[in-house]
Amino acid sequence: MGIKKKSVTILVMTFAVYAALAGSHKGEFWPFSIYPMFSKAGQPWTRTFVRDITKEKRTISGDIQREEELYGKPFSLNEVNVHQNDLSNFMSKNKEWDENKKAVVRNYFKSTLKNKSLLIYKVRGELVNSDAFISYKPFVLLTPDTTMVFND
Amino acid sequence: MINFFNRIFEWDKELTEGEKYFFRLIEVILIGQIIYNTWNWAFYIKELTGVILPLGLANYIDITIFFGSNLAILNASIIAGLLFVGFFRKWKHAYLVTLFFFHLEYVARFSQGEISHGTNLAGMILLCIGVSFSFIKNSDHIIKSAFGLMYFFIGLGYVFAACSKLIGTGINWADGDHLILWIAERGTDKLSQNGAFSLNRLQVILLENYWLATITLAFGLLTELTGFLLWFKKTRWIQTTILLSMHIGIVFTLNIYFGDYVYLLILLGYPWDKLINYFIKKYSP
Repeated sequence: MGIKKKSVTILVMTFAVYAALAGSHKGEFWPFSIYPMFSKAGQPWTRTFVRDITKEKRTISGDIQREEELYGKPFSLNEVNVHQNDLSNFMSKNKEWDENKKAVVRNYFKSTLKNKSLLIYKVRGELVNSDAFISYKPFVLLTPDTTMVFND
Repeated sequence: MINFFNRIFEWDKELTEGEKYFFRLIEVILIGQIIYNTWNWAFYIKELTGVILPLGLANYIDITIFFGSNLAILNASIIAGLLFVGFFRKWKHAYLVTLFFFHLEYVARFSQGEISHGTNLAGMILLCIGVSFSFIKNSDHIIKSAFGLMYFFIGLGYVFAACSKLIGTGINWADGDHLILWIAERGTDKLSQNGAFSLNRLQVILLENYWLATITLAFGLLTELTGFLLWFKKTRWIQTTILLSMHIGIVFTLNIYFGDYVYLLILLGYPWDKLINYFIKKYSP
């Protein structure tokens, strides 16, 4: 087999296996990833974080807050061995919150919900006058016996 | 075109002893990474309950069967077994078949949202090695093919990353304001993961100096755009060094550490085979 034929054959074989396995990765497969976090610069983003509100005295509402108004205290996802990307994407990509979806979220925190109440915030960042403007929206309230979603 | 392929695959050059040992070293590191990750994922997958992002084969196979069961652990065991079969040259298709099971474990683990670029590279290298073993007979050409494919795809990956930025945003992608927004985003992630976050000194300097943030982004874009220099032996170590400095910069500016990825890049980007050849020459009787 000649140099060119051998090279082309091996590249085509590689692409074929690649396409069969990863062709439906929705733009998220290296090296042909669209790199969604970085390709569109300057766009607003939405992530999540969790607050421990076990000792919070105020009534929890779904109103957008500033940083100094946040309920409770920070909660580390390391405590429940959950990866931030997983929780954040689950929150942002879910559009309909049926009982199954709520159960998935509770499952993330099952080891800690026996004696704690948690509040998952949607955190939105956007560029305003060359500065990052961040707003906080209480989104899912998890108490030992209930799950409440504050819809957008 | 023939010249281009020949420079990537180097079909007409004789394989040195150093290159053969170097290839075995790459196999060892790759096998270690894959086994480490798949076993870590296996216990994480067991605790999952729902799919939010069906990737690859997960679009056709119900991967929820991996959740709440020991299937992911069984799959990790199969992967480890097949990798050893491949390493000891007992079955030429072992690596390529491993890729299928590795892919299954991968799509189960990353069914929750985002994906991992580090282990993507491991998968890509496994694919390059697997295809070479399955479709090439000559043992020296298997190694040349695997090396050529690896360098080709790694270089291509960086060029694609730069192109996606230029297509998605345009030349003003390097605007320093964009870095401000990314630092805030990654700060939110770190706060969520660890319960605390504070800006490091470099981040403070970048946030206060728009021009420096712009230069930093422009350097990153240019570095990725020249990723194709990994294809050629003469420029490979230079490009690897520039890429590594970019990745170190990303660690400090955005708190993103591509551990698995960087180790493989260090391994592949420098001519370790020459060092091995030197020692062989020095200590051989």
